[in-house]
Amino acid sequence: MIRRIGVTLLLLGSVAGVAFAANRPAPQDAFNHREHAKLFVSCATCHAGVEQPAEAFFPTAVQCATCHDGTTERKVTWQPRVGPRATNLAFDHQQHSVVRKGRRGTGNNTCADCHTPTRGAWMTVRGPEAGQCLTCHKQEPAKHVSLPDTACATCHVPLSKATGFTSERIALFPQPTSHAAPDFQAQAGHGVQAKGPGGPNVVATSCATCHVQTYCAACHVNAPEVKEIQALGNYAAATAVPHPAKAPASHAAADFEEKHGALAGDGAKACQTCHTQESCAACHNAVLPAAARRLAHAGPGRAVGAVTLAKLPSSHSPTWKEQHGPAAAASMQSCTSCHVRESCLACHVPTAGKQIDYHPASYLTRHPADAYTRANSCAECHNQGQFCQSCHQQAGVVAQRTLLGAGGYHDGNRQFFVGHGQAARQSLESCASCHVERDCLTCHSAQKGRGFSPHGPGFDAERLLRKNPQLCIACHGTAIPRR
Amino acid sequence: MGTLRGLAMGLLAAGTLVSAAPAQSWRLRFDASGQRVAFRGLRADSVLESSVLTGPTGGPVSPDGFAVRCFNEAYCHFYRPGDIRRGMPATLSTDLSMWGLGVTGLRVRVHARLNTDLSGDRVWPGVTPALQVAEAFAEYRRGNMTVQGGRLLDQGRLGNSGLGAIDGGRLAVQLDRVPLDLAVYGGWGLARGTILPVTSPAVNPLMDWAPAVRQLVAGATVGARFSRLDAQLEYRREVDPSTDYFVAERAGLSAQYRPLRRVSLTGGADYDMAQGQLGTAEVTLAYNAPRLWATVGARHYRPYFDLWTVWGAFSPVPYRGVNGSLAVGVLPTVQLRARGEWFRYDASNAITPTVDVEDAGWRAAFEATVTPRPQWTVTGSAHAEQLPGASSRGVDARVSWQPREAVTLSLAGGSLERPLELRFQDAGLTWFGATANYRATDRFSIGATADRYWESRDRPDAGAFDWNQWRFGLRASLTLKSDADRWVLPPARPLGRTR
Repeated sequence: MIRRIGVTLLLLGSVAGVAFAANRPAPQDAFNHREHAKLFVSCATCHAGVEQPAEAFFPTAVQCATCHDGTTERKVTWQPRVGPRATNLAFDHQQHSVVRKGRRGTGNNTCADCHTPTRGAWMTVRGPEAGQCLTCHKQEPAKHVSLPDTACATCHVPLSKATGFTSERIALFPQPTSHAAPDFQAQAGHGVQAKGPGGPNVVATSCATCHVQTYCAACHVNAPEVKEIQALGNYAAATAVPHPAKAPASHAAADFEEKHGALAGDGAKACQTCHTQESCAACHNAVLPAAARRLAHAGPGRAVGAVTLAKLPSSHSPTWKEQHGPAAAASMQSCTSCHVRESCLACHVPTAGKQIDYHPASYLTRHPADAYTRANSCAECHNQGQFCQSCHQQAGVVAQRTLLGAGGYHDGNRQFFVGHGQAARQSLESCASCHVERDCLTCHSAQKGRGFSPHGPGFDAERLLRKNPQLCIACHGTAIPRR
Repeated sequence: MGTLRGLAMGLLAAGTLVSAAPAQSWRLRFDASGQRVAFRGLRADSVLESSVLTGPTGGPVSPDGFAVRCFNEAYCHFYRPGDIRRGMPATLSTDLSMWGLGVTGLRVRVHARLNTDLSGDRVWPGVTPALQVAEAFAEYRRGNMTVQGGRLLDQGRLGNSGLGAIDGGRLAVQLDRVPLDLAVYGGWGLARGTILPVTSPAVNPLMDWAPAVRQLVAGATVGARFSRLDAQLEYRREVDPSTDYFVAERAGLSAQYRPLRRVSLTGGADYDMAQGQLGTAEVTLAYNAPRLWATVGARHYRPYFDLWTVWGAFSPVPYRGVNGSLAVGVLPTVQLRARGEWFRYDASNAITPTVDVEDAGWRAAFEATVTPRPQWTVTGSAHAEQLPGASSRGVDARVSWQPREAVTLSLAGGSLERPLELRFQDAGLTWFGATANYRATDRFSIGATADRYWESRDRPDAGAFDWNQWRFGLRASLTLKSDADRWVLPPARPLGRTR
């Protein structure tokens, strides 16, 4: 059997491997400028389009094949790029070429000015650095990512339009120093900075340079209502930027759970950025507070909202498990603020297959002490018939339908059979876990029994007769005595 | 076979419900658990009165040494040690919540269980019927109004003594301008303390009189929510639809008042309107500081019986007691706890000159928890209960080691004595066990328990016996969620930090 499974897994693995290899695109050769340094004497040989609008920006694969024909040199798979550039720069080579030509005499004014490191060898090619741009554009190079909002558009297009970018490249974006400010995550931080100068429907250029809607919507569940976010464009790869959101400082306070309702206020304005109604309903299970109902619902276009991890209220003392009943009855709404129904069901609807943690492991032996005097009300979780009687029946400790047969059990006192009244009135629930009503009516029925009245202190015959005469009929028949 | 079919059908239904409904989000949790348990009871027997001998203490005994009870009939009666009954109850719970069903504010919730006893004997309580539905309702919430329909758990003071269920509907309104919430509900009730109807054979194993129909339930609640006060007033009536007679009529009040940040006063009472009696009531004053918790309280307990039974006419008497608890974090790594209660029954007015029964009792417990290192927790406790009917006293200890957040290993053991008041029988139990829990992922966890029990039943006759058993338990929990539920912000608080 194991061998058969192994062979099957091997076959499946082989098929999957072959399929993967077949669908995998062949790696494309990257052009190594340095290796070709002795071959080309001018950048324009291959990149004539940099200065000449009618020419191509890149050589064609056919040009490469002039040498890389498989005989003189090995064949290569290099292809000129098609589609949008993998950048969010607004740079135009031809425009800059014109400017460069107009400024002859200020340096060599060649391609190498931007694409070769200082004192680099011929055809040591690299991408330009922001500092080089800023030297001409009269900005302080060291502050590239922290320049004023108005400076970004000089060199960059919004990220939503830089659709040639890959997720990996976007994830490497440098972080502006402003983002490290303690209050940056707050409304007073990035919220204020995101407001564009052109009114509420415009987002700051500095935000749009690196972010798209989906990035903001990961935290802002109210993104559809925030005009600055809506002013951003969108495309999928841009969500790759990590968003290290942290809970606001207020959430770390020791009494935050107790006070968060008051902090939220009626409008819950402070909460609507990260929380949806469903986010609150994760804890406020039964009835949402009014403030929570002001929040948006989760749904298409919105994240569910922040995960809420409540901590124990101060009332939950180490003995809370035994004491929670009255408090729960007074304020079930408070309980449902943190507890889902499942947490109640775990104990209150006992699981046959699982030992419930509520009682200690030895409880099967120990339970008579609690059951006789109801340390807690057993009936809150256990049905007398389904739980107590059925188990006692299996254990042989139920009445034997004849009083005399049952009489042998209570042998702690020789006369218990005729003197059980006090014990019965004190622990009637315990009696009923082994005895059925007919056992007692053998003597305590006015009709067929020996007429011993079971009625004791507090018995209100008239009231019971009004509420349910059948109760009286069970012992008295139709001859119910009237007082 | 029937159980397996039920299991398969349940899983199929849950899967179909989840896949068919265009829910924006859903959570489906499965909990599977099983245990091997055993117990040993008694077996009734009798001997001819003519064969009874006089035992060492002067009482009548059977020829093989069992103390017998004779009632001047032909036979004398006694109980022999019963057979060892073994069971392997197993449960599969399904808990499903769905929301975002295309209608804003609509959600569906189901909690159902499949039970079986793998030993085939069904000796353990709660394994029948095989399929039990605790909750299954649809809820529509709009603004401050909530409507629910289906099988609903009714949580409150009167909801079948704390937690009951109805098959019906509930309408709740939360007022905005005044801090009140109102609710009315109605439907067919279930039996007390269970999720089965009163007509189910499982709640009437001794074949006593059983109602032929389910009771109709109607009730209302009014809750007041202030910053320092929560209160809830409840009214609930249950009627036998075949006769229109009351099965129950009760009212209850529960309140919690928080005059100071660390002080709360919690209390409540229920009143049996059908019998005209105060039911159970309690009041507790609590002080909760970061390392000091203390309560003092008083309690009045009276058992409650539906009018479907005659038990209420037997006039069960209440007891009144005082109680208190104290927990102190004497060091950051050491916590001591104590609690106790003393009570006395009201006069029963039952003339029993030949039988002296205790009418007062007390219970107390002391516990200590030491956390020498974050991964280690050692807990010890001692308890004593001197009560009418049955008493017990014993000690327990547990050592838990959590080498990683996902793994918990525990060793535990204890010993107790449990004398009965109304029967010659002093049970003794010593046990030792080990538990392992492993949370493989956020969605999947497993656990296992193995315990060894040594039990004795001491009596001065042949009815004494010793026996022991292994108890085993296995459990697994799997949570499935929708994609929408996975796209969430980081936790607002580091995981595991609770205070």
